[in-house]
Amino acid sequence: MQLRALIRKELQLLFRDIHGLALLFVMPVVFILIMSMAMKEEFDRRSGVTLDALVIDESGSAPAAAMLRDAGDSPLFTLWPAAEKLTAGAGETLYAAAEAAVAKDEYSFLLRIRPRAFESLDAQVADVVVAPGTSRETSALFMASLRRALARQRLLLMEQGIKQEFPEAADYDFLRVSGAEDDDLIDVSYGFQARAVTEAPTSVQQNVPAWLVFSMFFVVVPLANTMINERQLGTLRRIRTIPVPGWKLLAGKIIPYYFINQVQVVLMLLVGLWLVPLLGGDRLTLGQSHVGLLVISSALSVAALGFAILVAVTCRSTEQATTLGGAGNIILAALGGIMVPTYVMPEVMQSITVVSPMSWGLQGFLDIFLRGGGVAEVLPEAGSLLGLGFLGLAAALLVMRRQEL
Amino acid sequence: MSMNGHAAHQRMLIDVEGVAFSYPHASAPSLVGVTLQVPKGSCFGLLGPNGAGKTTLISLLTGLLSLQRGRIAVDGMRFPGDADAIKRMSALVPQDYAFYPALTGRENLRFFAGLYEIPAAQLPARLDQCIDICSLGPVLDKPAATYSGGIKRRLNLALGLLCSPRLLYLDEPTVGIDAQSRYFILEAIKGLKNEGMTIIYTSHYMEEVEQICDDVAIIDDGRLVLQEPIDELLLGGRDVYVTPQREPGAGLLAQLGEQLDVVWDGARLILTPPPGLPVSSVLAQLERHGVGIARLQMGGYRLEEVYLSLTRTELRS
Repeated sequence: MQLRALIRKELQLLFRDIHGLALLFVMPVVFILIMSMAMKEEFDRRSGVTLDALVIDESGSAPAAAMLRDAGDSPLFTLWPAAEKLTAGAGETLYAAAEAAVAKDEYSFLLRIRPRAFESLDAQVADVVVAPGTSRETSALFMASLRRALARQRLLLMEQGIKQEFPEAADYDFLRVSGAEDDDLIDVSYGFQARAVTEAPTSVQQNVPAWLVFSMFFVVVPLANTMINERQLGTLRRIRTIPVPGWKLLAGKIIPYYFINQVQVVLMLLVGLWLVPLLGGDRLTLGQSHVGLLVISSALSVAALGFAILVAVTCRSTEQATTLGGAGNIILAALGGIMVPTYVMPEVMQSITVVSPMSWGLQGFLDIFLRGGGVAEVLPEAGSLLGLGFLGLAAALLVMRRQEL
Repeated sequence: MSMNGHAAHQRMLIDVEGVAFSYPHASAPSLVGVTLQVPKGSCFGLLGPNGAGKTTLISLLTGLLSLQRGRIAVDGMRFPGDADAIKRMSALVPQDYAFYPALTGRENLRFFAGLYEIPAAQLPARLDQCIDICSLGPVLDKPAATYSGGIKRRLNLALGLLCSPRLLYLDEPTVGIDAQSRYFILEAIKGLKNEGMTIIYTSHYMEEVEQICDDVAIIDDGRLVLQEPIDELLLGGRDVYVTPQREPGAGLLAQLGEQLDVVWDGARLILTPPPGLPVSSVLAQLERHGVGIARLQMGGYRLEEVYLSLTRTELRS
């Protein structure tokens, strides 16, 4: 009965604190929406989202069509016939219109197959125009993809010529022998231990967990304000004259804010799943492990509450708590790859991110959303967060005991 | 213990013996060897200047602080072993508005009722009782932050009454409110006392203490300087205070001084008749000297005079 009364009171106080609610629920939604949309292009480039290339095939030949099919199979690029995407103006050629669109960075590349491309083995095949905003690395990848497709077609042409000259070689598979068709000849592994990388984060996959972690730590403001007000108003003094065990007082704070944290998790995931796509962004992918998600979000909640209660017992005024809690969160967020994604940081800064528990939480979420991880994969981060949370709570209890004397 | 001593002991609800307490890093102890007894069913005034040690003593009595030296028994139970039982029979109404301003009066009452673990079947009747005693009905569903000072004091009191305590600590329950609210609260306290509740009452308003307390203890610099029934304390004075219609001349004062102690304080004549000299003969003597009497106050000390004489008049930090 006592615990129920404490939890109900805490929730009543929070639901009447309009600023606290805005901080916990509105602020992260706004951040997710703004940052997901603002950083979409940057993330798209880095996350392997396909880049668009315009194609004008002036040869109209079967080998050219086959080469374009080959190149179009690449996960990195999408080839669009220019005639489908553009309409040339009066007196303007389609090529000129396509060149102008690429010059404006509307497309990453323009690929023109020359009219006599495959008539002889020494004929010039294609021209490529690269957009000014396209990086050298992306250009190199596009060119490698094109060269591979071209080499395959030329090999097929050579094979046809050889088989015409030498009928006894009719059963010989030049393509197979060349290795051009066989991906198994090269083993590829990625620089992540124990699990394969499925893909790099998109803007929404980075920003939803990042701002979710940030907002979960912001329980420090309403929680600390309530605790300090209780101390200043004498309410805590009155409560302590009633036989209420200390563990119930602590649980009466932790349980409602744990619940609030989990509501934040659900709400932010829904924003990533439904609201961001509605506004033109990518859809958040949740991964496979809902239990892993619960484990990491629970551990994160314990860490956030440990931090919040420690701030609450060490600060003398609500102003102090708001400043210390707010500034502390912003510093942890800046260090932890919340505000600036870790991968754009210099190497030294990247190594510093490990000091921030927000980074542990973010990596835990990304383990699940991005890397196909489950409970086992998030245990290191969850363990660290739980350890930190319990350390914060223990320190808070020590401070409270000293204050009672 | 003699039979009489045992009977007296049984009449006491609180028995404090040799209690001393020091806060960490404090330059001086807050309480030094305090010994006092509070009779059952009495209203006990605990007086003292700011910083004298009243709050520390109440904190020890309510279990907010741990006893360092001495002994405290409440209804025969001792700290720390019986702390929960002692807490269940008592309630503290602090000087602060110790409730949640964002919650309504009813929500505050329900929250504290939950902490007191009042069974659901008894809750409506208990709430109604507290609401009636403190006359909170009309404002009960408004946020407590919107209440006037008087209503906040009444809500503060109502929260203390929720658990039907046998022992109620009232820490300056009338500070900062208007005369009507103060009258209401004092009448409510008298009613509680008449029902047999033991009340520990601290206040800096001496006339309130005179009005409602049966016993009084004065603490200064952490030491108990006095504990007496208030009637006995105030009956000791036999002075007659006379406010004359005109200022008495030096000759008249000299004549009066031949028969009794007389002091002119600029506004009143303070006359102390010797034993055996009736007050009426003193008044007759004044009339014979042509001193018209504008106002007359008979005998008895004022509590404030006793208090100031015992605690000295210098300002306290």
